[in-house]
Amino acid sequence: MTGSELDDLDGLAGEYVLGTLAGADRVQFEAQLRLDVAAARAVAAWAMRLQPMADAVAPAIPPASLWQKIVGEVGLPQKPSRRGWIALAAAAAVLAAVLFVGDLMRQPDVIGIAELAPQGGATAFTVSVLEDREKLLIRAGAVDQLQSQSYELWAVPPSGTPVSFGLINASGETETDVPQDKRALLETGVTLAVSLEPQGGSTTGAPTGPVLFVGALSAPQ
Amino acid sequence: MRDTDQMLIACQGGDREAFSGLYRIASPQLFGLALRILRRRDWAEEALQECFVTVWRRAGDYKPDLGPAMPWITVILRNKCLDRLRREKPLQPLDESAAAERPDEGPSPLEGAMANAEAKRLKGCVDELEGTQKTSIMLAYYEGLTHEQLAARMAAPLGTVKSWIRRGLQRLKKCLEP
Repeated sequence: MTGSELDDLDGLAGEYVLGTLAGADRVQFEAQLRLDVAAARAVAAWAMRLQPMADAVAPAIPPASLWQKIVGEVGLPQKPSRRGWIALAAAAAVLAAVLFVGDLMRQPDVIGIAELAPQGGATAFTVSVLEDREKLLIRAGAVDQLQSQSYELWAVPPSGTPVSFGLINASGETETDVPQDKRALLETGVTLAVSLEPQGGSTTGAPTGPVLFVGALSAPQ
Repeated sequence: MRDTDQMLIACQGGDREAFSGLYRIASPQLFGLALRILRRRDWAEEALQECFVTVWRRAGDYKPDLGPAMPWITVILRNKCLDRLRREKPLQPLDESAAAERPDEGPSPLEGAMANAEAKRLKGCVDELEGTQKTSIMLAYYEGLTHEQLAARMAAPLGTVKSWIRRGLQRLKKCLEP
């Protein structure tokens, strides 16, 4: 390739990365990119040069449902929980937890996160464990509002006996304090579940209604 | 823990965990950029979705010896954004009234970017461009304007705008050379 051809190629690569190469020119260049290493190299160099412009923009958290859409579109099957099936999950299948990195400048310290959903369904609740397990933040997603019933959150440790973390709101966010004696339960891998209870919650200390949403707690990395 | 380059390479082999990890790490920055360019949450969500679908399907096109993963993914994301903008306003000059609707944001994101050495270097080089070169490049990058739209926005002939862009990019490249 001559010097001026290289310049032309570099000019095209720069405009491709900047975005001003449009229409038929862009289509043609994209075809060339797949075949011509020199073109690919020029584009990679421009992409690196201009990357700080992308990095300068403030990050934003996409909705949890977006990952489900991506997974659905590319046809990735859901993974079963690492802990396997538990009796409590009879009414709802376990869905692998999806990590969700919060913007640390806008949120308190998140040390664990779980997305609770029915199998193949949209996330119903996102549970974040804050600050050394002292608090839980529960954000409601795709979930039905209730009339004379309540949603109750449980942790199911390896022993299998669920422990209640109280009632949670069907919309918006709930923040609850975690009593000292329950903090140890909130370890990575523990199953969290939401059951449907009479208004005011279960009176037996165990779920009395169906378990609707389940997920595993994972630590942010 | 793997870095994004390694995760993207693992995607080439169909590694779903790696793909999920890549999304976790990269999606906030990419989503922020999509929101900035597109101004609409629904469009930004679509662009991000399309981006990652393409990343998964075309992971094999990524050549690690040519450069890191994030710039490669960012090019894909920006192209999805530009596709959306051009679908809605196919290559025509912007109405002046449409331009007026866009709130004046003051300095471009790059102005505030002093986060790292690369950002400082790029900002320094951008600041050395002629005013029209700098403006046209910033508008093209952050608003996705075409040559025609830039010509309308900056009230200049098409050929002049093309030359601002081309010369501006050449000067940036030269300035950034070690």
